[in-house]
Amino acid sequence: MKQTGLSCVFIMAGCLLAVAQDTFQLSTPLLKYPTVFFEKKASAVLRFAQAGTRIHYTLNGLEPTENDPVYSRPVILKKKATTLKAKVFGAGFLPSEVVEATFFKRGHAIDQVLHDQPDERYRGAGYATLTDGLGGIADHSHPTWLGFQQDKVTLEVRLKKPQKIKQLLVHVLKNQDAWIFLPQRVEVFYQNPGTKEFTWIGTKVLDAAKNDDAAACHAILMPLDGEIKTDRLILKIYPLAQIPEWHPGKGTLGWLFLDEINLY
Amino acid sequence: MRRRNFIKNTAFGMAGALAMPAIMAKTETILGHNNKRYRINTRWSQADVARNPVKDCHEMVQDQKGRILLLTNETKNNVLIYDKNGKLLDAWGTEYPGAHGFTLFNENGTDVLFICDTDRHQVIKTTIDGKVLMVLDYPRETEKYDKAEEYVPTETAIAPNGDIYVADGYGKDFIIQYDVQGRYIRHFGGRGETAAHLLNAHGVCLDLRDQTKPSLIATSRQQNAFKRYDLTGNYIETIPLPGAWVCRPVIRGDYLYAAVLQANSQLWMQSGFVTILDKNNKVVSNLAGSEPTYTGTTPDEMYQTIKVFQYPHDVCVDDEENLYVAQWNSGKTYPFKLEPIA
Repeated sequence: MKQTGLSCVFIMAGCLLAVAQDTFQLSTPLLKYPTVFFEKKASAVLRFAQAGTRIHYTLNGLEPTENDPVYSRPVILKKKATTLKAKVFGAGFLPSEVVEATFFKRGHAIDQVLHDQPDERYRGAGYATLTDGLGGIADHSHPTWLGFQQDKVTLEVRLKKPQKIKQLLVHVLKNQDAWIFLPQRVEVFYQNPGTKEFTWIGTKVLDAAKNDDAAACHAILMPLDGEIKTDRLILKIYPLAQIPEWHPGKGTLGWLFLDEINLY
Repeated sequence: MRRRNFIKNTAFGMAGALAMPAIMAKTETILGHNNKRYRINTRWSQADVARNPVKDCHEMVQDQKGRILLLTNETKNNVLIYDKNGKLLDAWGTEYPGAHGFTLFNENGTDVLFICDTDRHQVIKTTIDGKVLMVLDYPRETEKYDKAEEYVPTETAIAPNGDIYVADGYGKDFIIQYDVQGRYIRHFGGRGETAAHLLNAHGVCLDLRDQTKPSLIATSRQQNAFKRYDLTGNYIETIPLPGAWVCRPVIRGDYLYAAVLQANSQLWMQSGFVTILDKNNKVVSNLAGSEPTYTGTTPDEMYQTIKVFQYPHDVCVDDEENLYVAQWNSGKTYPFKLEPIA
């Protein structure tokens, strides 16, 4: 009799494990917005049509917990740069991964950006693509992106009149499954309005070869080496020269995708 | 794809599930909406992974004996034959490296199978135990193809008169119609700008729910839609399914079932689910997907809500309304079984 009792305990334990194995995780909520760039305010919508679940979100950059606000209406963003993070919780399920997007107030009005020819499949909306205020969709086939596969991409940013500039934002895409990497270096030069000569004013080096499988937008924010006043800047962007060993494209040039430039 | 797999498939789990007391069953996950809700069993298959492995589990059908047949591109055993409880009864097939489409047709009382092989660029008709009856090569009669490699058939559908419709879903997206002997009749669909064109014609099936107007439903997967044609290829209507990469349509009773490989909102991130439409083409249930809602006559964007499936590729509905879901590129998992909740 005692033995039977023991085996019952084992069967019960087995049942508990069987139930535990089928504890499923929730998927991430839908996060929808027309663009991440705004003049006065941005609005983002979250959706998750699954009974018994709640979307919690933060605007402070931290991972949402069940103590953070529950989403009920579109989130309005007004600050210069704000990251919205959202996560779904629900009884009986493991919480979802985090979905996020960072929204940026637009900077000085840019007259135009002259740039190298992008790949013919990824021409975006032509010469206005980098200044139209549209972007932040982490899908490389979306028409907000310019795609380049060359060892250096040069941009010339022209303003209508000289402006004081402290910071520069280059908005790029990372999707390593699609061979799209962060650039490895960005260099900035400005034109002295008097002498017309170009002078170096900033360099940013990025860890472009880091293995990171999530497709996401990335804002390269470059503080410049002192405040300048100019109406013309040149950016030299160096895509990842050699895709690293762990990737199927190892040894080849990484793709660079750009959707917006902002000057502050 | 470098993602975690949340679903473990073990023999131990199966034993536990069978012995589960009723009180504990309350905690189990119920999938779906309205009158199409299911209890899931991720450990249905009792096949020994060492003896009868799978790679991609592409499609499943039920034969007239009630057995469940699975087609996989694992050439150790392209076809696994199960009973409804997941016991493996038989296996055959080593010649189908690109085994993809799997259709069963009752030909004057005898079950025959049609296999689409995406590597061989052929459609192969066999007996239920694997004897080859007919091979259809690339359709040069269409004058749309210069070589076999351009033709990558993914699905067949067989009309009551025996006509064979082949969907070239990974080739040029034409639907090619043959007679029962395999003689070319016509082709339609293909890529283009009009509503009658297709983009990723991954599946095709006969819709005989309206006996007076038999029709054909083809998948336009990258357009997230099904498209209906008459049996001579005249376009009738589009059934939009925003967000859903639908695989082949499967009709049983009044309902249309389809595996959704992934959601547009989470491409290549194992975001699949299963969708069910009623005879008015209205989405009534999404298994592991968002509750169906409508704005006007078009469904709102659909997406995965629970990570139950990775890349579901086909649904088989058996004679007791149970579902079996086969998955592509999902860690060589065997099919799951879903039992309806009364």
